[in-house]
Amino acid sequence: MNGAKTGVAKTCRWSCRHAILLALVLLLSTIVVPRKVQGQPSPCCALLAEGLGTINITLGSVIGAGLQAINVILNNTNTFLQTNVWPQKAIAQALGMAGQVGGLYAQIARILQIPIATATLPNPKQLETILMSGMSGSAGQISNASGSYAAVYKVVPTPQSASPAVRDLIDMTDAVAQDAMQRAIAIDAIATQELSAADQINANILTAAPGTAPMIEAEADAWLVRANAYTQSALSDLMRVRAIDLADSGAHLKLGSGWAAVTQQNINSTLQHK
Amino acid sequence: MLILTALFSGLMLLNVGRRRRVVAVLLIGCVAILGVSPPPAQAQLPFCLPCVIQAVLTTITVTIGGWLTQINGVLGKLFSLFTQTVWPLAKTNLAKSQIQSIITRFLGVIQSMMSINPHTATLPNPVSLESIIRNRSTADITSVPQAYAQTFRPVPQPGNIAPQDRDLIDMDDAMAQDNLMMLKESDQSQDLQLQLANQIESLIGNPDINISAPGGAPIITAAAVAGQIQSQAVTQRMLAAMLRQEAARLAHDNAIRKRNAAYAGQLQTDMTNILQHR
Repeated sequence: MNGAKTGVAKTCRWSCRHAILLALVLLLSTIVVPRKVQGQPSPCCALLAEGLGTINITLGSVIGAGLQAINVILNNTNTFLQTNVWPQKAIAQALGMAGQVGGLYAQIARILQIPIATATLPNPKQLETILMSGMSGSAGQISNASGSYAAVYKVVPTPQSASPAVRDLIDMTDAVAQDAMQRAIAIDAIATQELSAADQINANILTAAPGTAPMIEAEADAWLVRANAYTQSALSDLMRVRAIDLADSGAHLKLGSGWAAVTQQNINSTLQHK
Repeated sequence: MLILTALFSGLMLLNVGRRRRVVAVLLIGCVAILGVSPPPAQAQLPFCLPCVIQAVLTTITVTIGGWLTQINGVLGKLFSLFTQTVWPLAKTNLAKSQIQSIITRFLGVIQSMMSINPHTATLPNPVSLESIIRNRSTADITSVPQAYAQTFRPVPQPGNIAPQDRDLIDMDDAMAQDNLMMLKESDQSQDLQLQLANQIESLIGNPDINISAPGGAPIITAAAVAGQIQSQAVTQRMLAAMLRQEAARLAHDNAIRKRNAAYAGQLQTDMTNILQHR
């Protein structure tokens, strides 16, 4: 006990003697001693770390798993579509078929362009040339048809040569025959244009994708509707010719009966005069 | 820091005189350093961190997770729609087998019917003409006029018939021959169209999914529709030819009528002249 008291007293005495030195040491210590820092993580940081960890796990389980499931379905769908619906090879085959269609119809178009002309005499030859001119795709020769028609089939008789009834009959029949010939030129020209349009459509199909092919098909359908209408128009012209032909036959009988009655009357008159 | 201040205070009390001033200055220095040193900041959060984390977790789990579940559900339904309703592989194969069945059932029968090609002429010239006009080929199309003339005879020489009748005969012959030639063209076109129909049918009914698949059908359909337009054009060509022929026939009859009218007028004039002379 006494030793301790003695030690404290010695320390005090030493401190008094070296007070300035101690004060300097303390000053330096004050300067260089590091500030009090929070050495242990605060409860806030621990909470944040735990929360981030939970978020990470949740992201992995909820979003990661969800995205993975979506990826699986999209992959399956992609595989299915590429394998069973739009396989590249099958699309190439379909395009190849479109090419074959084009090739075959080019062949048909060439066949239909084989020149046909068999008339031998000048007038029939000229008329035949005009009648076949539509095959070139132009209906420009239509206006020349009437003159050539008259050169071959002659014109309506003068009033002095035939009765009004006969002249009407002849004129109507000529009109229908000429109309039909002119329509035939137009229909030939239309058919040639349709062949070209179909050829163009077919070329468009070759550059189409499965998704855009229905658009080209719709365009082709429009042309098909149009073509059907032209076919019906040609059929109508044919029916008109047949109708006038039938009317001609009827008119022939009517005129014959009229002439028979007049002849009978004339004979009666002649006999009465005798 | 309080301890250090206390030590400085103790040292100040222990010293007197000059040393006391030195110590006092040093102590003031320490106090000044302590005064200007910022106290350690105790961070204060203006919000509830657990609540924020819980909110984020709720957003991830309920909102995003819910949306992902819904997207997954929709994609699953789309996949089912594609594979079970729109393009079920079984139905694709069924369609192909049905096409094959139609080919098997009808194609052979109809082809055998189409192959019936009667040849009933008995004499050499008609046999030759009949053979040419029914062989469905344009290779010998230029033979038609000669065979036609051998069967139906050529246009009479100028001295043997009136010029108008020669024109009529020549025009009638031309229309008939032109149509016979046109029919050879259309016959060959029809065969090519039939060939095309067979190719389309065969391709679309092919069991290999890499040759025929639902996705390729619109392309083939479009090509087939383009083919239909061309078929219509061929039909129109035939109708135009028939129209020409019918018109020529009508015109021929009308020309005869015109001539009869002319003859009747001439007869009437002649009769009147004869009666007047008597």
